[in-house]
Amino acid sequence: SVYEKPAVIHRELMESIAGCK
Amino acid sequence: MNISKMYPKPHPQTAGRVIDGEAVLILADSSEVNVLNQVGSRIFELANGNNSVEEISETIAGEYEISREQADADVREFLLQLVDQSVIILDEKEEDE
Repeated sequence: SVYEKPAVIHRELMESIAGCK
Repeated sequence: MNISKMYPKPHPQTAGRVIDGEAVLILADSSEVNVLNQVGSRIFELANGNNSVEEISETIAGEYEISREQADADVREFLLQLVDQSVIILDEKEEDE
């Protein structure tokens, strides 16, 4: 596609993804 | 710091995969997941230890039809950012096959 400056577009901590009568 | 003759390659603690043109990187050291945009993903794909920074810039300039000067500046800035985040490392020698 059209050139856009290289970048990190998303960053997330793994803990917030993996999560834990 | 002149990195144009250096060979970037993934940090040993980084796992990455390109999905639909976007690189998803897992950084074990910082427990982070990073996603790169399309151009960043292409640079990460080329940073396999077999291409120098100079060669990567040349490839990006050709594939995206931008000036060599812009490619040099953007690739260099991006790679130094990835080095800073321990996503890649810069080697002085080409990776052995």
